[in-house]
Order: sequence, then structure tokens, then C-alpha cells
Amino acid sequence: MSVPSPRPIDDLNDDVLLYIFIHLVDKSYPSFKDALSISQVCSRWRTIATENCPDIWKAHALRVPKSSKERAAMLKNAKMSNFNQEMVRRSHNLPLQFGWDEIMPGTAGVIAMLKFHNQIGSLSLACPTNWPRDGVDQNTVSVAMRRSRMPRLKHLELSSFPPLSLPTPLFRGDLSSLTSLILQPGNLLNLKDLKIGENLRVLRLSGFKARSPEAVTEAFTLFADHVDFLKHTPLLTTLELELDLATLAWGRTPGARISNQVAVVTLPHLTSIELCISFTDFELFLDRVRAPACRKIRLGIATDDIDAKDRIHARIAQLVTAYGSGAPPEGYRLHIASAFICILSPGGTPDMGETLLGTSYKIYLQLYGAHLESPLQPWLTVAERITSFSTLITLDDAEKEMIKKLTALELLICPEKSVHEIIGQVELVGGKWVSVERPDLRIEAMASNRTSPFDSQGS
Amino acid sequence: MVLLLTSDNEMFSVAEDVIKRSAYIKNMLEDVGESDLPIPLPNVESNVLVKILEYCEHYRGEPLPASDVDPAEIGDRSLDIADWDQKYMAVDQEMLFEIILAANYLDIKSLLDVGCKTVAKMMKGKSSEEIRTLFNIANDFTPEEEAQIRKENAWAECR
Repeated sequence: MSVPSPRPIDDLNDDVLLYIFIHLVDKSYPSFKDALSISQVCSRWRTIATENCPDIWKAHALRVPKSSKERAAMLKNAKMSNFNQEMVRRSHNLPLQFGWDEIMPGTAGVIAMLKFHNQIGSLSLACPTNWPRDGVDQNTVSVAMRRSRMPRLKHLELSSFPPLSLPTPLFRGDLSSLTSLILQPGNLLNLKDLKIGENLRVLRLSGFKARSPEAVTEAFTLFADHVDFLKHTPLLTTLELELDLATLAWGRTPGARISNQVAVVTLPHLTSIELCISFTDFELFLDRVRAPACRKIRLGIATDDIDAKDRIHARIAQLVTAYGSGAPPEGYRLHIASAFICILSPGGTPDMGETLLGTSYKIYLQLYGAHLESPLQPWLTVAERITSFSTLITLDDAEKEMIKKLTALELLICPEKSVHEIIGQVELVGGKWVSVERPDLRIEAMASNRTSPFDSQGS
Repeated sequence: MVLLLTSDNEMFSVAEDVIKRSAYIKNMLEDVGESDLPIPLPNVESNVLVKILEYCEHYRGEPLPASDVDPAEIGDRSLDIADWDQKYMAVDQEMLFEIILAANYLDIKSLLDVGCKTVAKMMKGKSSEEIRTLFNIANDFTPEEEAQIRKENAWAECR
């Protein structure tokens, strides 16, 4: 009689097996097949997986079926499929994720899923471009949404292109437990009417859009209103505000009227800011928002006023001194990543001049349509002061005189045909360009067919 | 030094800062205070303890994880395993599960994590039949359960 071979995995207790199962099903990209496989190995594993391991099923509970038959049934009957019902059961009482990428007014499936509104922890909905814009406030989905309470909702993401105009808020429930809010366009919901904020950590509002070029008043106050909303978000760590480019163009020049209704807001936990706004709004933001713990700022600033460049630079210097006072004195390293994008990031030495000393975060500056003679020009006074200047990418020999002043520059990337114009006398050593005048400067030439005058002479 | 007595009656003398990676031993030392008496480990054999001590010695001086972490709240769910840990875990299945059991008993969370990730990686992408073969597990489902499983497999087709 053969002796059964030992099965060491049987020695693991249920808790450890559960722990392995949770590891197997990735948090970000949960695989249904992996979850299904482990539930079909043997009776013991099946009981643990299906009865005691809700973590591995919760991502699938309110997942919209891919099967056209199931999907059609859901759209028609507003009835959850057997699959969804079983996944909801296996998920026990854990918060569930629900996302629908093309909700339409009659999307019965959304209404079926919203029956679990008390359990929804994450909601992501997108309206397609062909959503009928008329009567949107009264359509069945809007009505069902407004009936929902979602007391456990932590993450809300809504998008609509073109933007819906919703006279009545989509939500009437208490959204105070929300920790993450992502809206496209940023003014899709009227935040002032909602109880959102006290627990909010992440706020991303992109593509702010005024209703029409005629709505000048709205364009003026749109950004200010949202800065005003920040006083309700004391725990915010990540903020992204991006105005629609068309809206930016409407009268958003420096000196434009700024609303006086916004008080100064201090956000002690805010560490990351990303703004794509007009220069006027940037000045407003600087004046009204304090972020002493900020470690990273990404800026896209739009202006069509050529005279703004000097003021922009002064304001950037103010930004550097006003923010991040609690950060370690790591100094800066200036990268100029392309002709119109400047990035300041940690990594330099602490002796870089008074406006940059004692702070540590990244600044990306993008100048839209600034019509500057040289994109580097407004940065020169900053760049000259920096003792560790890592990389400059330039496409233009108009920068030649500026580059001579950047003595700390370590790496220059430029078109191969312009190497001589930009750097002057160069030699090719071991396949690398070397400046005769500045042998320490590393040079990378951008060319698909890398040849040099020396190569052609050699051949 | 701390004395440890394994289930096969072998005595180990271990530096306190090495074995304190075990929350079980750490708490015991804090509760009992200094003692010349060995701590019995009735669930750990000497060959396994040698392996456990190799891990603790390697991570000697590294910060200990917070003690109030709920095991159900796994922060890092990726299956990435550090190079050294991968080599350390390159053992036969019997030893692999012994290490996991000992890590669980001794409450060494980082080692339990690595062990569970190693097993999870072995199962990743495999069918239930392949997992049975891998770990020599018998299929003990009833015909009714088998019928239900066939239905569930149809779900997987369209997910």
C-alpha cells in the first residue's frame, strides 16, 4: 500500500492561507481568474476563499459585465446578474467599487448597481459625448443618483465631455467622508452646495470651463470660487486645478480684476500642487493659499502679455520663498526640459542664493504663447545663481549667449547640426562631443543619423 | 543574550537585538524582563530556527515594523520581493512552509510577508488544477460542487 506523500501546505492554518490569497490578488489590478483558481482547488480553500476572503472579490462585485448578453440584460431589466449578486455576497460588507464609462440617461444597469449605494466606497462615472443634453436633470440616472446616499463613499470621479449643466446637485447625501474627488470639468459639481471637504485628501479639478465666452463674470470668479472652497479642506495633501485653455484665453491677462471674496487659506498638509491657470489666477493663488509643507509644485501658466515675463519671474521667486519653509535645505537643481518647460527640483547644493535657499520642491513652469525672444531668458537670473545645474535641452542657438553664463551646467542636449553654433569649438572624443572651452560640460546631440564633420573627414 | 529552546531540544543563544525582530519574543522579554531561563519554542525545530535567525541577522539594525499594523490591511500588495529575500526563500516546499509557520508563530511580519508573497507568486496565473499539482493537493469536491465550479468557470470567460 502506498503511503500518501506529505502535503506541507496543509500545515498552514486558515489565517495564513487567507493572507496568501490576499497577496495573490493584486490590489490595483485584481485578477478575477486568480481569485477563481484559488477558490476551486479543494473544499478547504474554497470555503476560505468564498466565505472568509471578501478582499479578493470586492473589486468584481459591481463590475459591469463584458458579455454583451449580460450587459444587455442589465441595461434592459435594471437587474443585477447572478455573477454580480454572488460577488456582492462574497464581498461581505466591504466597501465596493463601481465604475461606468458611458452612462446614458436610461442606463438601467447603473440604477441596478446604485441599489448598493450604502456599500459603494468608490464611484467613477463618465458621460459620453452623445449624452442627450436636454432634460438631464430629470433623467432616470440623475434621479437615481440623487436618491443615493453613499455614506461610505471615499473616492468620487466624474467626467463629462462636453460638460453637463446640472442645475440640481447629483448628490444629496452627506459626502463628508470623501477623501478623493476628481472632476472633469472641474466645475461639474457645485462644491459649495455639497458637504464635502473635511476629510478630503486629494482634489483634482481639471478642464474648468466657463459656459461661454460671454460669461465674463463667471470666468473672473470661476477660479476664485474654487480657491475659496479650499477653506473647507483642512486635510488636503494633493491639489490639482486646471483651467480649460479656451476659458484661460478670455480676459485672463495680468491686471484683470480679481475677486476680493477669497480669504487667505492655510493648508498645513498640502504637499503637492499642480496648477494650469492664467497668470492672474496664479497671483491670486499665491496671495490666498499658504502651503507650508509643500514639496512639489507643478505650474502651467498662461499669459498672452509679453510684459508679464518679468512679473512672472518675481512671482516665482516669491513662491519659492513663501512655500515649503519647513522643508530640509536641500537646495535646487534646475532642469530646463524643453524650450518652454522649466523644472526646479531637489538635488542641488544649499548655497544657491537667498531666494532658493531653505526650500525643497519642484517647480515646472510652462509659458503658453508667451512670445518670449528666448524661453530661457526669464530664468536666467535664477539659473545663474545655481551651483548645480543638471540639464538643459535647447533647440535654438538663440540661447547661445545665455548658455555661456550658465557655468554650473552639467549636460547640454541640443540638435547635432547646431552644436557648433551653440557651444562653439568642439571635438569628438570617443564618440562624444567635447567643448574645447568647457571640457567638463557633457554634450548630447539630438540626431537620428549621428555624423560629424570629423567622421566625414575620416571616411 | 537570549536563550531559545527548540522543539527538538536544541538550545540557541541569540543576541537580543537580533531576535527582537520577533514581536513574540520582544513582547515576552519586555513582560518577563531579564532571565537566565530559556524561552521554549515548541512549534519550531532547530533547522528552521537556524533559517529564521539567518533572516533576523541579515536585517539586524533595520527598523522594526510598527506593532499595531492589522495583518488584514496589507499595504504593499505587489508581489515584488527583494533579491536577498528571493535567494533566502529558494528552499524546498517543506522548508518554505515551515518558515512561514515559524514566522507566523514568532510574529515576524516582514518574514511572513515574504513567505506569503513567495507562495502567492508560485500560484499566480495558474489554474486550480496546476495549483493542485504544484502543492500535491487532492481534489475533494463533491459532484454538486464540481457542477457549481463549472458554472463559475463560464463567468471567467467573459471577465
